[in-house]
This record gives sequence, C-alpha cells and structure tokens, in this order.
Amino acid sequence: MSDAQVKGTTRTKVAGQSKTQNQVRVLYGVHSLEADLAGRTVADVRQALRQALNISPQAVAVVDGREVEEGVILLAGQQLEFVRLAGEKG
Amino acid sequence: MPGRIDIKLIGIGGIGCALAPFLARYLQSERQLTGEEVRITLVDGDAFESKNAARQSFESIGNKAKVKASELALGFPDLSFRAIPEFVTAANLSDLVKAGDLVFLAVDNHATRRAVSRRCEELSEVVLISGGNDFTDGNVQIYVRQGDRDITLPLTRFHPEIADPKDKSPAEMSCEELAADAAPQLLFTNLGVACAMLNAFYAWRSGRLRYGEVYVDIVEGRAQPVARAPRDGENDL
Repeated sequence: MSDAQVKGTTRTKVAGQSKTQNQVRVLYGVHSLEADLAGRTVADVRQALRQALNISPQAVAVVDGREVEEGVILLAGQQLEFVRLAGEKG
Repeated sequence: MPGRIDIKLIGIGGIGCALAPFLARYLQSERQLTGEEVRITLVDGDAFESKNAARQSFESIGNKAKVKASELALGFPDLSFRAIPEFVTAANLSDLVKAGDLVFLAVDNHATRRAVSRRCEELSEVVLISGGNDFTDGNVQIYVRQGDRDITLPLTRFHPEIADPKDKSPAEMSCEELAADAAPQLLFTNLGVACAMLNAFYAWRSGRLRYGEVYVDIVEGRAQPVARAPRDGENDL
C-alpha cells in the first residue's frame, strides 16, 4: 500500500461517523486520531504520519502499553502511540 | 493523628517558580483543615539573574532555592521550608530524595531527570512528578512506586532521550557552558506545564490518578493524558 493510500485512511474521525471494524487509535503528543489501520504495520503508519505530525525518528512505538518493533501488524481496536520526546527545558 | 508530607521541589526556574506558590497555597489551606505537617525543600544550585526575569519571579538576586524559600516562608507561615543551594549530583542524590518523598522535578536537562528517576527506582515508596517543555509544548511524567513496585513507569521507559541523554546536568557544566544562551522559552508554556504537574499531584493525592504522562500544547489548546502502567511481569525484571 502506498503512503498516499495510508494517509487517506488516517483522517480524524468526525463526530457521529460510524466506526468500522478496522479502527486503530493513534496517539502522538496531544494529537490523536482513529482510522482504518488494522493490517498495516507500525512502520506504515509512522511513514504516513511522519510529516503531518512531525513524528521524531527517535519516538518509540507503543501498542497497548507495550513497546513494539516497526514490523508489527496492527489489529483492530488497538492503540498505537508514538511516544513524543519529553520537553527538555524548565 | 495528622500525617506529614515531605515535598522536594528540584529546579526553581520557569516551571518551578510558577508551581511553588500555588503548591504552597494549596498545602497551607489543607493544613488548616487537616493539621497535616508539610515540609517543602527547594533544591537548586543556580543563582537568579536579571536576564531570567521574563519568566521567573524572585524578589532579590541570589541563589534561587534560598531566595524562593525565604519568600514562601513569609507568605505561608504554617508550612516549613528548607533550601538546598546545590545542583543534583551523584554525591548528594541519596540525601536529596528519600523513601516517602513527593518530588516535583522541574529541571532543564534530561541528565538530571535520568538521575532522579533512577534514584526513585531504588526506593520502596515515592512519587515523582517531572515536567519539561520546549517553546510552546511540553509534558509531565508521573512515576509512582508503592510497596517496592512500580505503579507507573520510570521517566526513562519509552523515553530514550532521557535514558541516554545528550545533555549534561548543570553540575557537570563548565562556567562557559552555564553562561551560554539556552534555547528560548515562553512563560505561558512554563505555566501550562506547572499547572499540569499540580493537576497530577491533586489527582494522585485524591486517589484518582489515571495516567502516567500528559502532553500539553498551548497553541493547540490541548492536553492529552496517556496511561503508563507496567505490563505483567515488568515489576519482576
């Protein structure tokens, strides 16, 4: 699947829109979205959202609270978080 | 019998200055209701300089921990304040952070975050609330240990930039490095992160803490809490 096709599936869900059976929730910092991403790999999603969300290459991928490799295939109902780097200053 | 709470506030910069008076005001009013004894220890080896005045409030020039502790003692006479005018180092860390402490960590470098988080991992009971920011966004991490077990995750877990920091703690810096201009910061972001740290403190204190990290972005106008619980068996590693 091309990047453009993956991007096309990652629009933020509009209120009232019905969920499909392939929904995965993606988090990065304050951003979150739900999209039909079941069956895609973590690497697919990172690549598709990298520019739109400015995801750091260092950001660890976490699925349902567990750190995962980039090749992991996402399942419906899972939550994928790319852990945004901590703020450094204070 | 009223209890006692021992709070350490490490780092009295933009976030620490914003957090301290509201924390003290809340705890003083609680003390009047419950009689709980409160001791707040402020820790910072840095001195306030006029160039910091855009984001930091001190009534006089001098060591930040000493000046702020004196100010707070005048404003909140029911609480006990102590100043430690030192940066966190390997040598003083075990004296600074002890079992049973509630630590607010508001420093400006990941090296100190790693050191304090590692120290907390050694303790049976501790709450560590750490905040940091970039220009218009930031995050707060809450690391809770109870009964020798992690309730939430240490600061280093999922954060390689803290686990393997590229920066130095101020105690390791030369005078030239300390004097160099740091990345610009925004007062409102410091305020947003300080507020998120206090919110986390209140949620923990009232037994309703449901997250281990929260992201804040003042331009987006959003905060996003995220759970950070150990997985099965992770406490046994």
